[in-house]
Amino acid sequence: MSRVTDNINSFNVLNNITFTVADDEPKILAWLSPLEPQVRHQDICEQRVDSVGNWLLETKEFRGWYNGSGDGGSDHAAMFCYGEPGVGKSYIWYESLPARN
Amino acid sequence: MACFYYDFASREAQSPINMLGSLLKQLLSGLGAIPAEIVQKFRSQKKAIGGRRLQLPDIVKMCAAVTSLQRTFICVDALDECVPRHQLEVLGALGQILRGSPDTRIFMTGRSHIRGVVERGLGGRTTSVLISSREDDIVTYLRARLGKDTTPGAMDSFLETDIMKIIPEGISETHVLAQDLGNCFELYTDRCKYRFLLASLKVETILRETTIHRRRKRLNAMGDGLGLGDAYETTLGRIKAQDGEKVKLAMTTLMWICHSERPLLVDELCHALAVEIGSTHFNSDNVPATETLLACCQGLVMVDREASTVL
Repeated sequence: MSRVTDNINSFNVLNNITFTVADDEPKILAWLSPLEPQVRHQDICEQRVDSVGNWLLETKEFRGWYNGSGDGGSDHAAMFCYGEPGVGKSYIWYESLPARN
Repeated sequence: MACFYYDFASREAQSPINMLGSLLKQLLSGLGAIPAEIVQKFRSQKKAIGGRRLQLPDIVKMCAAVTSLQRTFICVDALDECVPRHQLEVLGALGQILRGSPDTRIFMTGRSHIRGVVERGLGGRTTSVLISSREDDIVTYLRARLGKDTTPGAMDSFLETDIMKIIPEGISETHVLAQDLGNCFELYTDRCKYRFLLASLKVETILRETTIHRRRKRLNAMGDGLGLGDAYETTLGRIKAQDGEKVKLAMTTLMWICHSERPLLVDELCHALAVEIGSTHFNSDNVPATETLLACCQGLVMVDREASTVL
């Protein structure tokens, strides 16, 4: 793999992708998308209350999704939590995040 | 981990490219390094007039490659608020990421009516769970709120026990009322908090009082079924108890928000409020400050920070 430009300091190949450290990383990231969902994410984290909604973690759907295939052979890599407005859907998923398990 | 929150008010900006670009951005910023291919594309597009965005297939390919390096969670909130014609495109892209990276897990939320779209869009790889607010969740929420009481002197264990008993009971009763008032709710409040919102409005009404006696009076009034209407009445009462001009500003604000066809931008609302009937000029000195406006409305109106719209 040849050098891309002079601004690149190092290369690292993982899974056939060449990674580099670029000086203009912030600009490149901003170019990928102007959206900043972190603001809303912060609000959710602040407003939520510990352990509200953790019944979800006990369901077989959640465990099948979290642990991957094997349970009945079907691989549900995606989980869709649906419900009427205001039941706390946006707050419940925080409960499912890996850092909390 | 990467998260994305769909929001009706920002639907124009939340295109599939921006959405998946945002996921890729989050995935990359956790790595501290960037795929050389992206760096290259970024630098060569700068030569084009006005620049050029990374295309969706490239974004999806990169997401799949990066997520295959380590176990990744992708969360997408309120998919129903995504423009319908974009939903399948986004789901298709998420499906492609999953195919390229078997350990990745996707967590999505949305209203019931798009369940079919989600399940079809991800071709049988989705498990769906119905979310409803459980009474014990509301109890946990109330307990946490009472723990943050700023006037703990106005609380005793009897009152606390009664609050914990009466509010959750009242919520199942007022649920029907909440549906009748549906439209107003969506205007005034964060639409994600319906049932929790009822609990929160009620407990705030109680905690606002400064003595045990007055708090108990509030609570008892709720037990009589006055519940939410009372909570609104209280807030409206507080609005009306201000100086004349502030009352006028608050009521006009509520009127604008209630009657507008779409969520208003803060600037739009402030400009609308600056117009004086009979005047032929627009006077920019007459535009109220956002803080003034929010203060006058006593919490009934809030600004969606991300979208700058008022709810």
